[in-house]
Amino acid sequence: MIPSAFDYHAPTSLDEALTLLAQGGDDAKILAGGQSLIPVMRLRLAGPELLIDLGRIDGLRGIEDDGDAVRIGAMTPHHDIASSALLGEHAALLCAAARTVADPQVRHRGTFGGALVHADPAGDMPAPALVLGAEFVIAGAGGIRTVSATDFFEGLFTTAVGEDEILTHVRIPKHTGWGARYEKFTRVAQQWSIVAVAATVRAEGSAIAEARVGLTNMGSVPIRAESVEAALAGCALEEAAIARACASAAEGTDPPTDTNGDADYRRHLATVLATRAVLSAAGG
Amino acid sequence: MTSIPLTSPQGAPSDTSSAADGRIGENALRPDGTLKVTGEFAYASDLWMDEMVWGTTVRSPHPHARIVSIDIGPALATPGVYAVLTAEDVPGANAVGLEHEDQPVLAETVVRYKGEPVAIVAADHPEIARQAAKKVVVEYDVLEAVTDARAALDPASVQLRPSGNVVRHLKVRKGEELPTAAVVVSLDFEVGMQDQAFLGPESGLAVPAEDGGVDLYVATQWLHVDQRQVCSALGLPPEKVRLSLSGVGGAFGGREDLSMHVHACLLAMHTNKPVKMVYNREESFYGHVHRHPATMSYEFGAEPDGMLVYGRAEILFDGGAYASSTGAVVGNGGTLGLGPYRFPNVHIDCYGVYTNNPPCGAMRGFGCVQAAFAHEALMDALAERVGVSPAAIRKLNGVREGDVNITGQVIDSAAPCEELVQILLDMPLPAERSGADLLSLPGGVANSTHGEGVVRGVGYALTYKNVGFSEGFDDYSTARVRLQVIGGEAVASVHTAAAEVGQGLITVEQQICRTELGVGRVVVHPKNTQVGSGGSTSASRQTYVTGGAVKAACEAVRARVLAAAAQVCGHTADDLALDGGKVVARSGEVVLDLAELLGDAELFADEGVEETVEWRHRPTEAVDPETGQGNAHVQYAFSAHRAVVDVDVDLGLVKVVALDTAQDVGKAINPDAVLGQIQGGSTQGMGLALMEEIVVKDGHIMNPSFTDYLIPTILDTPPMLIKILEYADPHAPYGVRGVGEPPTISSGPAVAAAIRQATGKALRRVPIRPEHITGT
Amino acid sequence: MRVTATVNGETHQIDDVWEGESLMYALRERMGLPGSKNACEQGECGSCTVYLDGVPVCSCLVAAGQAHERDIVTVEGLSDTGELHPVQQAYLEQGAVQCGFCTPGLLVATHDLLSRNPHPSDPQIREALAGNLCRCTGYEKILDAVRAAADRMDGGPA
Repeated sequence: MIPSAFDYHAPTSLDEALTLLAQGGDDAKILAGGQSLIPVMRLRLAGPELLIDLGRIDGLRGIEDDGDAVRIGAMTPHHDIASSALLGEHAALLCAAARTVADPQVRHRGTFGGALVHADPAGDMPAPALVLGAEFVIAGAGGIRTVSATDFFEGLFTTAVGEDEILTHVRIPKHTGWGARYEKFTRVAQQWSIVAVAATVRAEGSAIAEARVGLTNMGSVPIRAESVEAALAGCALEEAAIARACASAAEGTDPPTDTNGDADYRRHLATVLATRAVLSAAGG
Repeated sequence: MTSIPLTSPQGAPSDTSSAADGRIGENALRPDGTLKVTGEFAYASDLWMDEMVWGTTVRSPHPHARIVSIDIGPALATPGVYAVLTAEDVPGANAVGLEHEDQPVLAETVVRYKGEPVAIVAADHPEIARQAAKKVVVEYDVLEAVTDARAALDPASVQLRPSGNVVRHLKVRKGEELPTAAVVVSLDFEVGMQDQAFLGPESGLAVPAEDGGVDLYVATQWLHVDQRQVCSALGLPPEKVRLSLSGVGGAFGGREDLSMHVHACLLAMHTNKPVKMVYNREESFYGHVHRHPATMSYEFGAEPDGMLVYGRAEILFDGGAYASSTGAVVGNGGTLGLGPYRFPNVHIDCYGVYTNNPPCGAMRGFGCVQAAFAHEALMDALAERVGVSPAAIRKLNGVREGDVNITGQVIDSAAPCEELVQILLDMPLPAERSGADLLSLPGGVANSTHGEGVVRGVGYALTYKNVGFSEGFDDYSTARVRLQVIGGEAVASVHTAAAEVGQGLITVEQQICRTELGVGRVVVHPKNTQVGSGGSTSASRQTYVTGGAVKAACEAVRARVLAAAAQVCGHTADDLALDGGKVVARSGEVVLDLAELLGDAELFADEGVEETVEWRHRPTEAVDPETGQGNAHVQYAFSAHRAVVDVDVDLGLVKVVALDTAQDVGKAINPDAVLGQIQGGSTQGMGLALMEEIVVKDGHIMNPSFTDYLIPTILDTPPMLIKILEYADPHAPYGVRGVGEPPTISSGPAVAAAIRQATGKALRRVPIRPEHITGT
Repeated sequence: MRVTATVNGETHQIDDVWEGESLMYALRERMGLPGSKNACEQGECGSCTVYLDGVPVCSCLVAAGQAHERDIVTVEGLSDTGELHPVQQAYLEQGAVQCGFCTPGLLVATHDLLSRNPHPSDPQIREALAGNLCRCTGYEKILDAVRAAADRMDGGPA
């Protein structure tokens, strides 16, 4: 028998999970799909003393119509998001991004909520959630609270979810009829994004009425390219015009330099990918 | 006599046989294939024994440091821990190595690279072993590290060895000292550090034996060279150190050196328990040698029509902290480093140096892979300068049979350079891009390209490689073949120590036995040290050398059988052959049933015939130390590649659309297996051109994982057209030519050439990174 | 802790499981099913792919506790007839196996692909198997094997 480095619990209700979490304090960690946490633990980069597995709690998995939004359970795997007809109709950007996450095996286990709370800068779900204006439903001892997308991603691997809280659902406002494109750059298939651009566009006639553009791995948190969005409003559906509007995509970003590429190259990628993503999302 | 362990581990190697037919030249199926598709095949990491404990390794965090002290107390006090050992516990010579015994089993006073083993721990669960390993307290005095090979060459830099930093300097001189030429082209080229990235991690199980020795079940490329080193380190004679090959999950050169071998044996002998060691992926990156990074300066002179006049090269290999096979890599880089071309005048300096970087050694195509990037880039530059095509410049200058090469050796079998290139020219090119299929564009499924910014390029490469061990090495293999009656059927069994690492040698051994002895069923005995050395599974040599040994042993067995048959049947032995389980006359007449003959107790006292043969290829010579001249190599193997790439120049993203090749294999013993070698080898070469690099910064590996060390997936790997030539080498058994390495040498340079052609960029470093293409 | 799971149709109960153990470790070291391979243990290579409740996952990225009371099928359970499954037969016959370390994971992934899509196109095969690294074959013969298995399972030429 090994002197346990940690305890493992698999509660069957949210209340039970919250109680365990409160008891565990700083040393407790939520296990969703485990596709990021387990590798990190294996490298000894994380060493929680208490692991609370959400996998046996009913009601945290599924995609439902919720009026003006689509409601996604935090434990919904990427595979389900990628193949959801409901999301395809109302939040196509999420489906597009989920299809690029890792490989089929990981998409079966990895969860939407887990990816958002883990908040890896190279993760593919945060930027789409940000630009779609997701509302994050967070449960804690004091009840339920909702956090907007702009307030959710606080820093590197850090979100608004407190140490005693659990993300239970995410509401994605419907973007019915919006075109979408997730442009992801990797050097080999199935890898983490070196840079990616999430774009969703509502076109009217021959012009862009509204556009939302988000950047993956261009800083410690997902970033909205607001100057690009502003420039795109009313922009003609022409490649040159869109490219001009997207030229500022990397402005104000602070991308990393690592073995996959340096910051300048990432800025270059962001600009090229933004143009392509918007063009594609606009149906160009 | 040797003792057998009281209990063999679960997953211990056992006889492999298949009743399937398949003589040489046919697509016989692997005898281990069924076990591999059912999950029952036991790899080294699958071994299991009652009472087994787990070993783990404490490694240096510094590239260069003096060990001030080691406190194993807290680790040893951990419940569940059975042993914690350091250099003091190595009973024999604390120095191992392939070519130079310069590497300690466990570091004594100095650590010379990050990841060097310092202590080992055995515990009853791998996690406990890891926790205890963290409690081994090692105090280091950090020393200045030499992490730049060029700096290491400078006599003024820190000297890491009493003999200096140079492991080997090979000079090749031919013709005029200072030739001149109408056309001169030159370049500098750099090749990054590639990893073998075999999937099966370093693993093995050591079992203490009652005779005071040890039995080691391990995944390796060369049992006997391991045995020699383990014996030396343990201070035991060979009969007390018995090695058996366990299932090997790929090798590609990375298992030619020791990894956990001695460590597991030490722990087993100290604990008197079976000890299993399995590296995880991160540890594997520190636990085996890599392909030498190289910096190269080349200059070719030519006539105005492109005919080569001279070649000059300076090649520098970073050997890292220990010599491993740096000497052989320098040998290949020097003697073969100008490629398969005719050079009247040659001046090459090839160096391998010690640094405090991760040790480098054998990897598929060693020495030639690096040089090929430089000489092929320069041949393209020459073609452009003189205004001919890349194919034409290669056809013009390629060596031919009967030529004298740059080390003065006559190429005395086929050298079909011109034909290989022409075959590629004649192959159809892939269809132009179809905008409809995004999957065909750079980036594949998660693609970033819809066709924007995509340009196509085509590149060629022509390369060659020596087969077998060179420069006077006594290169041999041993085979024991037995023919006997089992269940009323004549059955052959073959026993060699030659490592099967996935390439299909055991299939070849069966095919040769079937061919030579005319039987259907051939049992492949487990590979172990109970038979003489098979030599290394490297240098594309096993089908040639162990194949030669098996053939020779079969011939010896057959001679005895036919001599006995001649006594019985009235034919002369010369008039008889073995076929279909019968003794047949040349006329085709069936003379005797082989099983009945073998069962004749008067003729064969032990109901069988067994012969053991040690077989050598024709000798090679050491080269002259001042000129590099000499008959260094036993055989050359030629290959050519054509790569077609689509490059998204805005992103710097490359999609290899086609990777077509032609190769002379002498004789395809198993055509399907030959294709498999060429496809896999080509993919590894492509990987080096595009993505595979261990990034080392100040002696530290920055990407020791499959997350960050990129290898091609099925989405990144293109379809391949392959044409195999079979020009028999009259000196080799069945005319075979080594197959495994050539495709890895020619594919990468072809990919690099295609990207240069598409982008117009010089691209003098591989792997080619996206930002090299975009210029950002 | 104790973990009970159905593996290849049989109930397995294992005790004293350390909370940090993966399903892969539990299968390989505690249940005597070493067919799922330990190549990277980071979810990158796919060698440890098993079915978990009917979908292929990397068993190295499943905590043993997460598999409690779940249904698991490993490479050892792909065929329950004593004969090779057509996917296994095709890998063997097409030369898609060299060192074989990636093979168990690829077999499960291929089995899953063909159960969902009996006639995949080449791009669909590539997409489905992109999570499984192979270092020996260059993938060409793996594609051959998947095509051959599809034909064989369809009763067509194989």
